[in-house]
Amino acid sequence: MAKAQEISIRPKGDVSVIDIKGDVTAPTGQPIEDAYHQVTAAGAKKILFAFASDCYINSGGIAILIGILSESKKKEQAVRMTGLSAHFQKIFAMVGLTKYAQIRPSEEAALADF
Amino acid sequence: MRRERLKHMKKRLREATRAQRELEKRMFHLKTLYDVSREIGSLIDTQAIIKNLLMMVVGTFGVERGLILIVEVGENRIQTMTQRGFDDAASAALSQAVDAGFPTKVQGATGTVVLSESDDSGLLSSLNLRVWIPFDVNERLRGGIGLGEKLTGDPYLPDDSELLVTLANQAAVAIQNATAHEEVVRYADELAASLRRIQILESVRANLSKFVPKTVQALIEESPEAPLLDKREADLSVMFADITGYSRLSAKMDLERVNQLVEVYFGAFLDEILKLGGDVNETAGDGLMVIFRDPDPRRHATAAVLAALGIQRRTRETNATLEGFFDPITMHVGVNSGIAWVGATKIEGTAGTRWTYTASGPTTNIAARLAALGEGGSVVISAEVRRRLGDEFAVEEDMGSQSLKNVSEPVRAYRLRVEEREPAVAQVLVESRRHPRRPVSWPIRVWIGEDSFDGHAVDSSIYGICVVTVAKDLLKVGASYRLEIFVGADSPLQYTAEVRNLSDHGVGMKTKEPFPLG
Repeated sequence: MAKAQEISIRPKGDVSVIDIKGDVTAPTGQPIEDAYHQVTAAGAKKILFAFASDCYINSGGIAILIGILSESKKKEQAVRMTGLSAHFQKIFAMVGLTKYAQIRPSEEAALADF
Repeated sequence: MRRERLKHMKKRLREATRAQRELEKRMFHLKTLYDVSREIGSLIDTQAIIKNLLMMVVGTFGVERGLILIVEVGENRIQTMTQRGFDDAASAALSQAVDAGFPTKVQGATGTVVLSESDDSGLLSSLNLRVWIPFDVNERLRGGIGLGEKLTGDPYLPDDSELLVTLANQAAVAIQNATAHEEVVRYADELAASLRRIQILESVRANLSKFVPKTVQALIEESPEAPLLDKREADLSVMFADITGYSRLSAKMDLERVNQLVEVYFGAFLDEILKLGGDVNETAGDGLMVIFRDPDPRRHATAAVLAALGIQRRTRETNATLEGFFDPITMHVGVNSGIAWVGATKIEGTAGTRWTYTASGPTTNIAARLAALGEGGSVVISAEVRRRLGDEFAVEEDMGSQSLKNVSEPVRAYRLRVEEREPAVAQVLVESRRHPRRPVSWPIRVWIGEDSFDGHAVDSSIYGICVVTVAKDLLKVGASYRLEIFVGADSPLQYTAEVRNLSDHGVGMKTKEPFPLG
């Protein structure tokens, strides 16, 4: 059963943190893209995607993230990801997402890494 | 020794890690297959299917750029397409590729095509695609999945091809279902539109039937493209009825009340006319012209006289009902029988053409003049009508030979006794009109023993038919004969029909089996 998605944005110093809860799939990807475009329009150069521990991400959701990270690369934004389970960390590495955005074990570690 | 064991353990660990990674990958692929079947299997829109599939494929293989398109076989045309990661330059390259025959190329591709930098087709590599997986949707549609370079930079392996082919096949099935669904929806829409058109036509027909004579309606329904409206001689009865002193009435009352009056009375008259099979041919303010036809010349004369008496009875009844609201009216009614020219008359003017369907000639003219002869409340018939009726109706007055306007010979006229009660024959006629006759033009063959005689049917009800045949003089009333009707290219329809009457009009026959369009 799909979990309800909840996306929120919060500033953390000069980092824009996008919190993601619930399922990340192709049909539910639009709010994440919207959040990314919102912080980008506000001039964000450092972005952290903070996934909730129970996030479910399928290949359609990964496609959404690829699109976002591809755009962020062109815009020379620094992007980090955190909160991912070990399984999804492996999947992200396998599909090459980690080339665009490094995964950090915690929000603190990610913030310290920018 | 210990070093060797350590080396061996490290090797085993690397193998285990690799196996673990392979296992994770397989699980991810399986999950993708599951998600694809779940998410696109229920979609009924081709565009949505390929869009969802492309997202799944792009995410599974970790690529920035992907493309799925469906082309129409035999045409350099893309039916449906979706892409991801194509920038303006890539989109322009795609347009150029389409112009250069890309869809045709797609149709010809077979198997998984792993493209290299030196791909000589130039078409797929110009789009920066690294792999192309064609798939068949059906005989009309062919598709393909194209993917760019993996983010990892790894090459596409046979395992990848296997998964891509499986995903492509799933997409093909989903698109087949969607296409079938789209066709069903289209057929349903077309059907709904057709039904709507039929409803409109029915509505038009229902409204037109108020103005078009019943005979013309039947002819048009039988032959919509070319109704059989040509004039032909026919034996019939004509009844004229008009309101006594209509002009005086119109001058005394406002037009709206006059119209109300006419509607009330004529509505009642119409019931009498229709139940006896009459066809209202003309209405002109205060008058009606009604035609009665039947293969039996006595029957249509009887029906016309019964309708005439019915009009007088309904006039008295309606006068009583409207007492205090309207002054009572009286009706002139005249009936004549004989041969008339029946069919369409074309009136051509500079502004257009109008057709009228009527019975013309002396028979009609005499009926109109007879109506004018009588006092209000009477029914005047000709000698010909009286001859046909026999003693069925009582004559009140022999009016002698009358010189009628525009009629060369004097006509003997009779005024009928207007009874309060309908004669018994009325019920018999009304019963027979439950299966009304309609004009037909079917070739027929009548068998008398071993001999056959061709002819044609001129009208038919569900169980009755009137045929014209040279064998008329050989047929006997009350005897049954084999009758064949040719209504199509197939074998003739076979009946056993009993001769009920013989007349100048034709041979009236009855069957127990229903006729095709009767």
